[in-house]
Amino acid sequence: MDKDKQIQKIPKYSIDKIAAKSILATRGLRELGLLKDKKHFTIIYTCQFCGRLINYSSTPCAFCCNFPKTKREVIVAQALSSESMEMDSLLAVSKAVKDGEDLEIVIANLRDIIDDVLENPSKFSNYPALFKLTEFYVDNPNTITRAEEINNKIKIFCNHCNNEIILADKPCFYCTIEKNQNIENNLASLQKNIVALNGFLLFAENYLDFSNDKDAMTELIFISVYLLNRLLEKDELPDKDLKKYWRELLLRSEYFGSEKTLGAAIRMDSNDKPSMVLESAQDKVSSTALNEMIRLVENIIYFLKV
Amino acid sequence: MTKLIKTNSALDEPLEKRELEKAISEKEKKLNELIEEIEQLKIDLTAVKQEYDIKIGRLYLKLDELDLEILKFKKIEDLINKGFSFEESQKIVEETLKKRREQIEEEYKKLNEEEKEIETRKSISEEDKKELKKLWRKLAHKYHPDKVGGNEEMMKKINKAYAEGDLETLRAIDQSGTGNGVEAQTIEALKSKLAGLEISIKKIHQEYELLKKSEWFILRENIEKAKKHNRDILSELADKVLSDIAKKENQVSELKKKYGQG
Repeated sequence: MDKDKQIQKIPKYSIDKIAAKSILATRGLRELGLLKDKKHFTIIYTCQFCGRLINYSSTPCAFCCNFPKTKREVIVAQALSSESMEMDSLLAVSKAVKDGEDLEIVIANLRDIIDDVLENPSKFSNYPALFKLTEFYVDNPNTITRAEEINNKIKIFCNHCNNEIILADKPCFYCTIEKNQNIENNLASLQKNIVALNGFLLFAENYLDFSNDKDAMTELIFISVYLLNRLLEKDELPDKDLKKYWRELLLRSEYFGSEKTLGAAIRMDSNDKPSMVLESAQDKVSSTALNEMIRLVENIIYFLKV
Repeated sequence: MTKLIKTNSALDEPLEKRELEKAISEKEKKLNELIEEIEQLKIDLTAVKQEYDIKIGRLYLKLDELDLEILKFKKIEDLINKGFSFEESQKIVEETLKKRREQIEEEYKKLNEEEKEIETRKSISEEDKKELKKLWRKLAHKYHPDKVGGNEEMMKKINKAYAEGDLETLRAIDQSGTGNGVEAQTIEALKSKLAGLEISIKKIHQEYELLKKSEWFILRENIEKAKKHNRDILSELADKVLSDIAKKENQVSELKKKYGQG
């Protein structure tokens, strides 16, 4: 995509501490050619329908089964990619979609991009192939069947209380806190990995606003999206080297969390164990914050262990 | 012959203690130097940010306003195509854009505050500048979060006061401050103090590396590099954004004409 067309105008949720990022500065640096685009492990996208981070733009989203069906949606899908915007913007868009915001307002030049591609298709060589691919998925009766098959793998519920299982390797969270019952989840290894990575990514999408090492945290999110996608699409357990890399990145991130929303963070200690850091005394911390952090810590512990 | 076995380590204690105290003093000196260096860098980068915001950020905000205006007309057009009248469409669209307009307003307010800060800084006398620096150094050594008894919030307050040239606040902090507590006396306590200092030095080095990756550091380096070649990259960038603004202004005025609002 044309560099000038890169989307940088995210007015809200500017995640200032993820590396003291400034949208205004990023725009200037890009314009001056001083901001080198970093190569990442893979390309990721924010799903324009549900706001989750996904690995592919044309196939149905693993979380909501929706996929771009019109030219306009194809253009939006491409605009919401890590090739067009940086991680803090992808996360901001994720929140905006989840909050039901109008993306044309959230991303000031999105409408311009859409109109430009639609009015001057010859200027954008990569779109015809993408439009064709969309036609293929729309016309293919297996698209939705396959999407639902994948989507079912993420729906993991407790047999006892029917709530979603959110801790990879611990008894059902809801049975424990609501009924004081320890109900083992008996998940297969594949499912545990799905729960753990999904939990980590949900935290990143919904709450993450700072990290001691922005680059490491960014890459960690890329790897996590990739690994979760492989688990869901190919039933493939994480590769050992990739897990090692995931661990290294997590350790490099060292201290990260949600300062603005939850007032809580994770600190990786010298024994590579995550510990919770809560902003105020425990009795003043909201139950949401506590639950989210328990989810995050437990899932990280599981993913580090296996 | 009786073997002399060294059993009383207390005899060696003064020597070990002296060595530890010497090492601590050296580390403390090093830590203070690093604290000054990194805090000065943060202040310098804040100044770079402010200069950029005033010269360029303001222009980007103008561009955002124009983008929003263009978007407004495009959205009105969408609604007209769906059968709404111009007036109805305008009302609906204005309502959806309200929040974003308020955000731009807020950004302008922040820029105005930064501009005021720059003006205040310019008006400080040389004598006051010297006192500011002296007090800032003293307080930074005392309150830096990587020091024993340090305080992150206080450090932020100190840096803010220094950046704004607020001598009164620095004096007040200095007068209200208490000592760093009782000095460590035992060998164990000294060892632990030394270890703490080493960790602090490591942390500052890490923080320095992160700052070097920040966009403001990159910008500062490039501004300085360009200056050596008699180039002012901020002005060049401003010209580029101004030309974008001119194009968008034309677009907006055409759209206004189209809808009889010119």
